[in-house]
Amino acid sequence: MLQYLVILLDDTSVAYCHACNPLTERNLMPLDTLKKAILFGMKENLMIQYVYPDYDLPEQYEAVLESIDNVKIWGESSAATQHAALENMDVIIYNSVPDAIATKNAVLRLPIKEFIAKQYDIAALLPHVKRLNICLTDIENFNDGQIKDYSKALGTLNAVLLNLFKSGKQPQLNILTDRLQLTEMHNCGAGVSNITVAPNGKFYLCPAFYYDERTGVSNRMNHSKPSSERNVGNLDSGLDIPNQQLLKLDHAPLCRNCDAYHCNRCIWLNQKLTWDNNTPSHQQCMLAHIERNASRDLQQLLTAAEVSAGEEIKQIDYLDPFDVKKEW
Amino acid sequence: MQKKLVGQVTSDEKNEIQRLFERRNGLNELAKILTAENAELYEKLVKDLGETGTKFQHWWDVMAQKYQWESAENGNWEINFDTCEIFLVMP
Repeated sequence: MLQYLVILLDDTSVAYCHACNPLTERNLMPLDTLKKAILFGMKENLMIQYVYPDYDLPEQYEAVLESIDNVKIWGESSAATQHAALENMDVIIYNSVPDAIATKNAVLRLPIKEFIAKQYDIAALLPHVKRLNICLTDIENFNDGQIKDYSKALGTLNAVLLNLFKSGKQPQLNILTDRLQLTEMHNCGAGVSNITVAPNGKFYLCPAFYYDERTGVSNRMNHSKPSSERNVGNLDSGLDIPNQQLLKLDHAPLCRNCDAYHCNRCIWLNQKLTWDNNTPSHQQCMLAHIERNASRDLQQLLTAAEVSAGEEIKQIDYLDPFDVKKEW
Repeated sequence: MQKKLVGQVTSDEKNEIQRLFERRNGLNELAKILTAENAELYEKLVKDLGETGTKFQHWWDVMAQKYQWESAENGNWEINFDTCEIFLVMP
């Protein structure tokens, strides 16, 4: 069931997830389109998430934007960040590791190598955040040679988290603490729990599909008629996701048996790397399982310190469920 | 302990010291996980804590000079991050 409507206010709206935004020319969503998008969100009872560009919007947008409850997603260099009260920003996206984070909710978008290299600086941010999301921007490049370093970086973060939890603070770090709380899959949900509307008034599974369409990346899923088109309906005729069941967990034979519940299961990366929306790549599975196992380590440390840490995470001996598929 | 309001800084000035305060706290948390074999973390902490401490003190020196806050022997200044107010705290 859809729960969230992501509204890209401009072609240059900040990238907040795995895909980088290659669009550099401003193309603001027309006010009429914005109103239609908000009306769609109201009628479908969706939580609105505005994704802001790096410049101030015209004054007449303000009243329309605030006509409905919303969450705002800003880039760190966004014009608004410079003069609005930072702590009132809902989510700020950083593309590098800052010395301090001004908001309580932030996303760090980093290549894997930078995440590993900056593990101590990231750990030093934890005492002052409510929630920090790490979003790796080059999952496709992850290789077996990085397993040890990635695990070590997670261990560094675990050590700081342990001390903070023991002192009564409970910062959330998506790749380590989410798995402690989850008892079922909680993934990307593009096209299932959330949908994106772009400045052109068309729906996309997520912003990355819009970027691909705009930059002419061929849509390999269109077997009969090659094109880069990726929209799944528009604000006038409504949402039209072909074979939507093929995005869902119950149609994902590997994922529905997996317990890396926090895994991103990024639909866009799935399509890019496996040619199937519903099947994650080896790289995605490996990363998710290294994180799952690090969450298990954290859980054991917390339990030993008599801090509540959720349902027991079992020990497993694989990093990619594909390797043990016969056991299922 | 006595606490007396002696001044106020601007929002930008407050943001600067709050960033340094949070950085110093974060580095102090890192110090708690330092082990003998982790030379990489040791070197980072020594360097960063030193630099942050210097910047932190520099901020107070510059602001005290600028605003000429009241001071007292054995007293110290505190800032309220919500209101940007500066207090003189005396034992």
